[in-house]
Amino acid sequence: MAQNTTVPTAGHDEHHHENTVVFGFWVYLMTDCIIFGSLFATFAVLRNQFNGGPTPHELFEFGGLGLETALLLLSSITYGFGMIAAHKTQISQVIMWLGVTFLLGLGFVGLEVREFAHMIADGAGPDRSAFLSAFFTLVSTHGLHVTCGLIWIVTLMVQLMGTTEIPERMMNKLTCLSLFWHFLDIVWICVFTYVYLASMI
Amino acid sequence: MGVDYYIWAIQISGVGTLLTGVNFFVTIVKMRAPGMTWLKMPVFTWTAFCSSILIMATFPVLTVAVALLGLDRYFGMHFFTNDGGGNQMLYLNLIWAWGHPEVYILVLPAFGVFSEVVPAFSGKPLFGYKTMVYATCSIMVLSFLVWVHHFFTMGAGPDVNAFFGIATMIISIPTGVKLFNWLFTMYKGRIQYHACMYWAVGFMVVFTIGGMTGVMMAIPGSDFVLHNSLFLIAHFHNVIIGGVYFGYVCGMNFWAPKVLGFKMNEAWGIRAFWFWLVGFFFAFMPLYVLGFEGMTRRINHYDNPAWHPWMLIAEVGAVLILFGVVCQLMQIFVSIRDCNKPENRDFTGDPWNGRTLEWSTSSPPPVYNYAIVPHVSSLDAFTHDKENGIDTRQAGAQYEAIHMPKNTASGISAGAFALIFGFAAVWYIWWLAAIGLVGVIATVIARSANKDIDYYIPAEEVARIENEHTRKLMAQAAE
Amino acid sequence: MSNPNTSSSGESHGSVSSYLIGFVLAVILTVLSFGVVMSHSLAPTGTLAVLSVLALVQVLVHLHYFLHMGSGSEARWNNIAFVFTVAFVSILIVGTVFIMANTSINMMSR
Repeated sequence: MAQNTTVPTAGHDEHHHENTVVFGFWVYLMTDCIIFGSLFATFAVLRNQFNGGPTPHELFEFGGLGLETALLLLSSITYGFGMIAAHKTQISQVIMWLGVTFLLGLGFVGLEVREFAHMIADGAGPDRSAFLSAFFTLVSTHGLHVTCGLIWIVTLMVQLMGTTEIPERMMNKLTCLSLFWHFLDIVWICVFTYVYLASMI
Repeated sequence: MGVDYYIWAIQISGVGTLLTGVNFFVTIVKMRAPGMTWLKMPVFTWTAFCSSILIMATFPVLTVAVALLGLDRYFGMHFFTNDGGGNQMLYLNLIWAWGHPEVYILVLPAFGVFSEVVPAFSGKPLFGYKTMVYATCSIMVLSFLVWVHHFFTMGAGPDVNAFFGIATMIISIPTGVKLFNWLFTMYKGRIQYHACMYWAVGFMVVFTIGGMTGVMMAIPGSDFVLHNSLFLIAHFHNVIIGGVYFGYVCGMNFWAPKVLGFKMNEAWGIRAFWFWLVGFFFAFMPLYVLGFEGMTRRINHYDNPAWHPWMLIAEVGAVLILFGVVCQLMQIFVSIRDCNKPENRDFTGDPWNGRTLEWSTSSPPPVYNYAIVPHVSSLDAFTHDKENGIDTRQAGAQYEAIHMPKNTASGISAGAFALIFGFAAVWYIWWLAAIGLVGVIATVIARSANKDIDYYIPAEEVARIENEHTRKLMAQAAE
Repeated sequence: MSNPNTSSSGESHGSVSSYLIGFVLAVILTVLSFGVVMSHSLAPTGTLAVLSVLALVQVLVHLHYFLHMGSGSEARWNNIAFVFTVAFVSILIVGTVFIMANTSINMMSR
């Protein structure tokens, strides 16, 4: 959540009509993308090191994965509807859509925690094998990002309550969170494709 | 505890480095002065730009490598362990995928410093500005493709080692281009040997030797002989001391008047340089020989009499470098002590007849930097203005109120909580770690809710500051 | 705000219909991915290839319909940053797999 680290110092230079805050956050997201890239590289190296432990075929199931994917995908368009409302300055609508997005995201995190708890209870925790270490680390890094997104959503909902207009700075925050949220969806595509589905072929 | 300590120290400072990189990058891409097109940008800005890109691309890899190490240690995971399917060599791979670009993060800004200092003290524009820019960019891209040369001996096959060995040799070409550019900048120039220029010329000699021994080690076959020997130690001190240390001391001498308002002491600066330069050759050249004689790094005693004379020479060098360090500290001390002497103060803001725009402001510059943002029409914009009789400051023009960000304690607060978090995590005090983490998040949220973040400097205040500087300039010109 | 340069100048921010189109495309692609694996209708390498193509297309769908990339001149630097990131991540992943696989074979460690 680095949206506050760059304060626009334009002002005495009227030539800047470009938005440095949102671009700065986009660049930050690119560095986040490299974090995930490194974790994918690690997973790719360690994906077959089962150490005699459980394999993906025994661990993963399509049902839970499908539900998680559905929740995250739905939350993407509910956030999108929130942004459309924000551009029309319909604040109550924005708060409502943010709330829906929050619930969907919370459902995703809940499902993921439940899946992890089951695996650990069955003796397939992150310390069982290198494969499981890589799996847990990659997937929970994504989950941790979603959790940060949830905190961020609540923060902005609180800041929006009782206001009647959306100033530029608030719009920037909503736009940055929008980028963050949709970006996590893209990471999830790679997770369910390469971590789950490709291991279940 | 030692490893846990460095895990958290690197993670926390890594966040700061990363955000700095983002900040510089966005500033350079989006907030350049009007007319400052990419190929009118000072080389120092270019190198800062490329360094920022390298930071943003590679620090996340370090974050991951160190985080995985931490997970191994704290949660018993199996990334780099011997058992459980872990792979220690993966750690080497990840750490050097960051570590090699990192040495260019260090040295590129130093190259930028030399690219400003050499033209300023040769009284000539930089030779081959465009090739300098292209060389900087090619070094940036190539530095992503060479990380295996830190572990040629790990056991990868000839195809891997050949690829990365060739890429490493190629990266020396743009670096060589830069050296020739600096040399040709000096050629037929009116060179003033100020302390900065000593460091710049010393750098060219020392760094070239280091670069050539680097190419020797880029050959995988010879690296099998030289790996982890003192030859390697000599090589990287040759480039890091000769490139990075010389560069930053050079930059300190060059920009101190701009930042602090007074010049650094010349005599002590030159003494520091000579002790460092001579001491460097005495200390590290014997290490090349010792490397060939089979002496490895990190040994606490040796009983090979053939090594002994060389070690003694190296010791003499180390003592000379110590004198260099003392002279350097003396330079800083004496400079601060004498900072109010009139001959040391920089009243004009342009003590070296500088070529770039920062020298058009007062020293130290006002908080808003430029009362009127200059319009850039050529490379070396300030020199261009001086030669054409243009007043870059546009003194006496109609000033406007300037929009400024307010100071904030958020950074210090987040840093303090991060320190608490890191300390607690090193010593497994989890309740305290939780407090630290919540503190960081609360600081960020509080900052986000803070609406009082900017203010305006009134036009009269701007006029007062500018007129005062104009008066000083007039007084200086009258003398 | 005394400086009313709107944050959205030049940026496109999508409409209800564009979000719905993106959503429907994403659902179709996700279902296809799951279907390819669950039906076991292809050989393993074929399945992986199809999965990769589907994932790539879905990433592009998301980038276009949800992140609104590639529209307007002001998006130029966003696109450059993205392409550069993809290039570096590819170097990192391909390089790591190349190095580690090669090392494993030579060292007979796996």
